[in-house]
Amino acid sequence: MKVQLKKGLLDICVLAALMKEDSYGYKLIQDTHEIIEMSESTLYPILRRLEDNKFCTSYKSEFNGRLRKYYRITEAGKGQINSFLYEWKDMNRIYQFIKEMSKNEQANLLQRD
Amino acid sequence: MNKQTFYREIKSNFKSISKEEVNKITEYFDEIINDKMEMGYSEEEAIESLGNVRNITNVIKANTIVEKTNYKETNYLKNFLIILGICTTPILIPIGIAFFVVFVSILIAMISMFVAFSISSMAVFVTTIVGTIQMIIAGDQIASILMIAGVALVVSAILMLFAIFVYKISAIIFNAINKVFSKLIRNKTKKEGLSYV
Repeated sequence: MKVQLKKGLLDICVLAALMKEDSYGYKLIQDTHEIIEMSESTLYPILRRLEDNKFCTSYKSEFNGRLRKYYRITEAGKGQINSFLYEWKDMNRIYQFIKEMSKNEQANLLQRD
Repeated sequence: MNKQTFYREIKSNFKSISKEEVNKITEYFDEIINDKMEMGYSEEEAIESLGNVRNITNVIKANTIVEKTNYKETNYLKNFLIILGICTTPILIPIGIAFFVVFVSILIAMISMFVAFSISSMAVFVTTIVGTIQMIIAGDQIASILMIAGVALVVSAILMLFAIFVYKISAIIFNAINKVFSKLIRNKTKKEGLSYV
Protein backbone atom coordinates (compact mmCIF):
# COMPACT_ATOMS: atom_id res chain seq x y z
CA MET A 1 0.00 0.00 0.00
CA LYS A 2 1.23 3.50 -0.74
CA VAL A 3 2.88 5.15 2.24
CA GLN A 4 0.76 8.29 2.17
CA LEU A 5 -2.52 6.41 2.24
CA LYS A 6 -1.32 3.94 4.84
CA LYS A 7 -0.11 6.60 7.25
CA GLY A 8 -3.54 8.09 7.86
CA LEU A 9 -5.14 4.68 8.08
CA LEU A 10 -2.75 3.44 10.75
CA ASP A 11 -3.84 6.11 13.21
CA ILE A 12 -7.48 5.22 12.73
CA CYS A 13 -6.76 1.49 12.97
CA VAL A 14 -5.03 1.97 16.30
CA LEU A 15 -7.95 4.04 17.56
CA ALA A 16 -10.38 1.40 16.36
CA ALA A 17 -8.40 -1.28 18.20
CA LEU A 18 -8.90 0.79 21.37
CA MET A 19 -12.68 0.89 20.94
CA LYS A 20 -13.21 -2.54 22.46
CA GLU A 21 -10.98 -2.09 25.49
CA ASP A 22 -7.90 -0.30 26.79
CA SER A 23 -4.78 -1.76 25.27
CA TYR A 24 -0.97 -1.58 25.20
CA GLY A 25 1.83 -1.49 22.62
CA TYR A 26 2.41 -5.15 21.93
CA LYS A 27 -1.29 -6.04 21.94
CA LEU A 28 -2.14 -3.20 19.57
CA ILE A 29 0.35 -4.54 17.05
CA GLN A 30 -1.07 -8.04 17.45
CA ASP A 31 -4.65 -6.85 17.08
CA THR A 32 -4.04 -4.84 13.92
CA HIS A 33 -1.41 -7.19 12.49
CA GLU A 34 -3.77 -9.12 10.24
CA ILE A 35 -5.30 -6.00 8.74
CA ILE A 36 -2.32 -3.70 8.34
CA GLU A 37 1.42 -4.21 8.63
CA MET A 38 2.87 -2.06 11.41
CA SER A 39 6.25 -2.34 13.11
CA GLU A 40 6.93 -1.48 16.75
CA SER A 41 8.86 1.61 15.72
CA THR A 42 5.96 2.78 13.57
CA LEU A 43 3.51 2.38 16.41
CA TYR A 44 5.50 4.57 18.80
CA PRO A 45 5.06 7.86 16.92
CA ILE A 46 1.42 6.98 16.25
CA LEU A 47 0.69 6.57 19.94
CA ARG A 48 2.54 9.79 20.68
CA ARG A 49 0.58 11.64 18.05
CA LEU A 50 -2.77 10.26 19.20
CA GLU A 51 -1.97 11.20 22.77
CA ASP A 52 -0.72 14.67 21.85
CA ASN A 53 -3.92 15.28 19.94
CA LYS A 54 -5.93 14.00 22.92
CA PHE A 55 -7.47 11.18 20.89
CA CYS A 56 -6.38 8.83 23.62
CA THR A 57 -5.01 9.00 27.14
CA SER A 58 -2.51 6.72 28.82
CA TYR A 59 -1.97 5.31 32.27
CA LYS A 60 0.49 2.89 33.77
CA SER A 61 -0.71 -0.25 35.41
CA GLU A 62 1.18 -3.08 37.06
CA PHE A 63 1.45 -6.34 35.22
CA ASN A 64 3.67 -9.28 36.21
CA GLY A 65 5.69 -7.11 38.57
CA ARG A 66 6.40 -4.44 35.98
CA LEU A 67 4.62 -1.38 34.65
CA ARG A 68 2.75 -1.48 31.41
CA LYS A 69 1.46 1.59 29.65
CA TYR A 70 -2.19 1.29 28.69
CA TYR A 71 -4.04 3.51 26.26
CA ARG A 72 -7.67 4.52 26.45
CA ILE A 73 -9.63 6.16 23.65
CA THR A 74 -11.22 9.55 24.42
CA GLU A 75 -14.46 11.05 23.15
CA ALA A 76 -12.41 13.07 20.67
CA GLY A 77 -10.82 9.83 19.50
CA LYS A 78 -14.22 8.26 18.96
CA GLY A 79 -15.22 11.37 17.03
CA GLN A 80 -12.15 10.83 14.87
CA ILE A 81 -13.33 7.35 13.97
CA ASN A 82 -16.82 8.62 13.18
CA SER A 83 -15.55 11.31 10.89
CA PHE A 84 -13.30 8.76 9.21
CA LEU A 85 -16.29 6.51 8.58
CA TYR A 86 -18.25 9.48 7.27
CA GLU A 87 -15.46 10.58 4.92
CA TRP A 88 -14.99 7.04 3.77
CA LYS A 89 -18.46 7.09 2.23
CA ASP A 90 -17.15 9.67 -0.22
CA MET A 91 -14.06 7.58 -0.74
CA ASN A 92 -16.27 4.67 -1.62
CA ARG A 93 -18.11 6.72 -4.23
CA ILE A 94 -14.80 7.90 -5.66
CA TYR A 95 -13.57 4.33 -5.77
CA GLN A 96 -16.71 3.24 -7.61
CA PHE A 97 -16.31 6.14 -10.03
CA ILE A 98 -12.69 5.28 -10.79
CA LYS A 99 -13.59 1.67 -11.22
CA GLU A 100 -16.51 2.47 -13.48
CA MET A 101 -14.47 4.85 -15.65
CA SER A 102 -11.60 2.46 -16.06
CA LYS A 103 -14.09 -0.24 -17.01
CA ASN A 104 -15.29 1.97 -19.90
CA GLU A 105 -11.71 2.58 -20.89
CA GLN A 106 -11.02 -1.10 -20.95
CA ALA A 107 -14.15 -1.69 -22.99
CA ASN A 108 -13.04 0.99 -25.46
CA LEU A 109 -9.68 -0.62 -25.79
CA LEU A 110 -11.37 -3.90 -26.57
CA GLN A 111 -13.61 -2.29 -29.21
CA ARG A 112 -10.70 -0.62 -30.94
CA ASP A 113 -9.03 -3.92 -31.30
CA MET B 1 22.19 -8.29 21.40
CA ASN B 2 20.99 -7.94 24.96
CA LYS B 3 18.78 -5.22 26.37
CA GLN B 4 21.61 -3.12 27.75
CA THR B 5 23.45 -2.91 24.44
CA PHE B 6 20.18 -2.22 22.67
CA TYR B 7 19.30 0.71 24.92
CA ARG B 8 22.82 2.06 24.78
CA GLU B 9 22.67 2.08 20.99
CA ILE B 10 19.24 3.70 21.00
CA LYS B 11 20.49 6.39 23.36
CA SER B 12 23.55 7.12 21.26
CA ASN B 13 21.36 7.44 18.15
CA PHE B 14 19.09 9.98 19.82
CA LYS B 15 21.74 12.37 21.04
CA SER B 16 19.96 15.48 19.84
CA ILE B 17 16.78 14.61 21.69
CA SER B 18 15.99 15.40 25.32
CA LYS B 19 16.75 12.74 27.92
CA GLU B 20 13.13 12.58 28.98
CA GLU B 21 12.11 11.82 25.41
CA VAL B 22 14.73 9.09 25.03
CA ASN B 23 13.57 7.54 28.30
CA LYS B 24 10.03 7.35 26.98
CA ILE B 25 11.31 5.57 23.89
CA THR B 26 13.36 3.02 25.84
CA GLU B 27 10.45 2.46 28.24
CA TYR B 28 8.22 1.75 25.28
CA PHE B 29 10.60 -0.78 23.80
CA ASP B 30 11.33 -2.31 27.18
CA GLU B 31 7.64 -3.03 27.63
CA ILE B 32 7.41 -4.65 24.20
CA ILE B 33 10.54 -6.73 24.74
CA ASN B 34 9.16 -7.95 28.06
CA ASP B 35 5.81 -8.75 26.48
CA LYS B 36 7.52 -10.69 23.71
CA MET B 37 9.67 -12.58 26.19
CA GLU B 38 6.55 -13.59 28.07
CA MET B 39 5.15 -14.87 24.79
CA GLY B 40 8.11 -17.22 24.53
CA TYR B 41 10.76 -15.19 22.73
CA SER B 42 14.28 -15.16 24.14
CA GLU B 43 15.75 -11.74 24.96
CA GLU B 44 17.92 -11.88 21.84
CA GLU B 45 15.03 -12.90 19.60
CA ALA B 46 12.72 -10.26 21.02
CA ILE B 47 15.28 -7.53 20.32
CA GLU B 48 16.13 -8.92 16.91
CA SER B 49 12.46 -8.90 15.91
CA LEU B 50 12.37 -5.13 16.37
CA GLY B 51 14.71 -4.64 13.42
CA ASN B 52 18.05 -2.88 13.45
CA VAL B 53 18.56 0.12 15.70
CA ARG B 54 19.30 2.51 12.88
CA ASN B 55 15.98 1.68 11.24
CA ILE B 56 14.12 2.07 14.51
CA THR B 57 15.61 5.46 15.19
CA ASN B 58 15.01 6.66 11.65
CA VAL B 59 11.35 5.73 11.72
CA ILE B 60 10.83 7.46 15.04
CA LYS B 61 12.87 10.51 14.16
CA ALA B 62 10.98 10.94 10.91
CA ASN B 63 7.78 11.31 12.87
CA THR B 64 6.88 12.82 16.20
CA ILE B 65 10.33 13.56 17.54
CA VAL B 66 10.84 16.20 14.89
CA GLU B 67 7.63 17.90 15.99
CA LYS B 68 8.56 17.62 19.64
CA THR B 69 12.05 19.08 19.43
CA ASN B 70 10.78 21.86 17.20
CA TYR B 71 8.50 22.93 19.97
CA LYS B 72 10.90 22.45 22.83
CA GLU B 73 9.82 25.28 25.12
CA THR B 74 13.21 26.82 25.84
CA ASN B 75 14.34 27.56 22.35
CA TYR B 76 11.80 30.13 21.24
CA LEU B 77 14.07 31.91 18.78
CA LYS B 78 14.71 28.66 16.94
CA ASN B 79 10.96 27.96 16.96
CA PHE B 80 10.39 31.43 15.58
CA LEU B 81 12.59 30.63 12.57
CA ILE B 82 10.98 27.22 12.09
CA ILE B 83 7.47 28.65 12.12
CA LEU B 84 8.54 31.43 9.78
CA GLY B 85 9.99 28.78 7.46
CA ILE B 86 6.70 26.91 7.42
CA CYS B 87 4.91 30.18 6.62
CA THR B 88 6.65 30.52 3.25
CA THR B 89 3.94 28.23 1.85
CA PRO B 90 1.68 30.57 -0.25
CA ILE B 91 -1.54 30.07 1.73
CA LEU B 92 0.29 30.72 5.00
CA ILE B 93 1.96 33.99 4.01
CA PRO B 94 -0.67 36.23 5.70
CA ILE B 95 -0.28 34.29 8.95
CA GLY B 96 3.48 34.46 8.49
CA ILE B 97 3.45 38.25 8.16
CA ALA B 98 1.23 38.65 11.22
CA PHE B 99 3.45 36.29 13.17
CA PHE B 100 6.61 38.12 12.12
CA VAL B 101 5.21 41.53 13.05
CA VAL B 102 3.87 40.43 16.44
CA PHE B 103 6.98 38.48 17.36
CA VAL B 104 9.52 41.06 16.25
CA SER B 105 7.74 44.07 17.77
CA ILE B 106 7.41 42.35 21.14
CA LEU B 107 11.01 41.19 20.85
CA ILE B 108 12.19 44.77 20.28
CA ALA B 109 10.08 46.00 23.20
CA MET B 110 11.48 43.30 25.47
CA ILE B 111 15.06 43.90 24.42
CA SER B 112 14.78 47.65 24.98
CA MET B 113 13.20 47.11 28.39
CA PHE B 114 15.92 44.67 29.31
CA VAL B 115 18.68 47.00 28.11
CA ALA B 116 17.10 50.01 29.85
CA PHE B 117 16.82 48.24 33.19
CA SER B 118 20.26 46.68 33.12
CA ILE B 119 22.01 49.87 31.99
CA SER B 120 20.30 52.00 34.63
CA SER B 121 21.13 49.38 37.25
CA MET B 122 24.79 49.49 36.22
CA ALA B 123 24.71 53.29 36.12
CA VAL B 124 23.33 53.50 39.66
CA PHE B 125 25.95 51.02 40.81
CA VAL B 126 28.87 52.91 39.26
CA THR B 127 27.55 56.25 40.54
CA THR B 128 27.29 54.77 44.04
CA ILE B 129 30.93 53.73 44.05
CA VAL B 130 32.18 57.00 42.58
CA GLY B 131 29.94 59.00 44.91
CA THR B 132 31.07 57.04 47.99
CA ILE B 133 34.73 57.59 47.16
CA GLN B 134 34.09 61.30 46.62
CA MET B 135 32.27 61.58 49.95
CA ILE B 136 35.08 59.75 51.74
CA ILE B 137 37.64 62.12 50.19
CA ALA B 138 35.45 65.09 51.13
CA GLY B 139 35.51 63.77 54.70
CA ASP B 140 31.74 63.30 55.18
CA GLN B 141 30.37 61.39 58.16
CA ILE B 142 30.77 57.59 57.78
CA ALA B 143 27.16 56.91 58.88
CA SER B 144 25.61 59.11 56.22
CA ILE B 145 27.96 57.77 53.55
CA LEU B 146 26.92 54.21 54.41
CA MET B 147 23.26 55.07 54.39
CA ILE B 148 23.32 56.79 51.02
CA ALA B 149 25.47 54.04 49.51
CA GLY B 150 23.15 51.39 50.95
CA VAL B 151 20.00 52.95 49.51
CA ALA B 152 21.69 53.39 46.13
CA LEU B 153 22.80 49.75 46.05
CA VAL B 154 19.27 48.58 46.86
CA VAL B 155 17.95 50.67 43.97
CA SER B 156 20.58 49.17 41.68
CA ALA B 157 19.65 45.64 42.77
CA ILE B 158 15.93 46.28 42.23
CA LEU B 159 16.63 47.56 38.71
CA MET B 160 18.68 44.44 38.02
CA LEU B 161 15.79 42.31 39.27
CA PHE B 162 13.49 44.07 36.83
CA ALA B 163 15.91 43.25 34.02
CA ILE B 164 15.96 39.58 35.03
CA PHE B 165 12.18 39.60 35.31
CA VAL B 166 11.86 40.98 31.77
CA TYR B 167 14.21 38.26 30.54
CA LYS B 168 12.25 35.49 32.25
CA ILE B 169 8.83 36.73 31.30
CA SER B 170 9.82 37.11 27.66
CA ALA B 171 10.47 33.36 27.42
CA ILE B 172 6.90 32.76 28.56
CA ILE B 173 5.49 35.37 26.21
CA PHE B 174 7.39 34.16 23.16
CA ASN B 175 6.55 30.53 23.81
CA ALA B 176 2.91 31.52 24.05
CA ILE B 177 3.09 33.42 20.76
CA ASN B 178 4.78 30.46 19.07
CA LYS B 179 2.15 28.13 20.40
CA VAL B 180 -0.76 30.27 19.27
CA PHE B 181 0.66 30.69 15.79
CA SER B 182 1.57 27.05 15.32
CA LYS B 183 -1.99 26.21 16.28
CA LEU B 184 -3.28 28.71 13.72
CA ILE B 185 -1.06 27.15 11.08
CA ARG B 186 -2.19 23.67 11.98
CA ASN B 187 -5.85 24.66 11.74
CA LYS B 188 -5.29 26.45 8.47
CA THR B 189 -3.39 23.56 6.89
CA LYS B 190 -5.97 21.11 8.15
CA LYS B 191 -8.73 23.14 6.53
CA GLU B 192 -6.85 23.30 3.25
CA GLY B 193 -6.18 19.60 3.42
CA LEU B 194 -2.42 20.02 3.45
CA SER B 195 -0.29 17.84 5.62
CA TYR B 196 1.73 19.56 8.27
CA VAL B 197 5.13 18.33 9.53
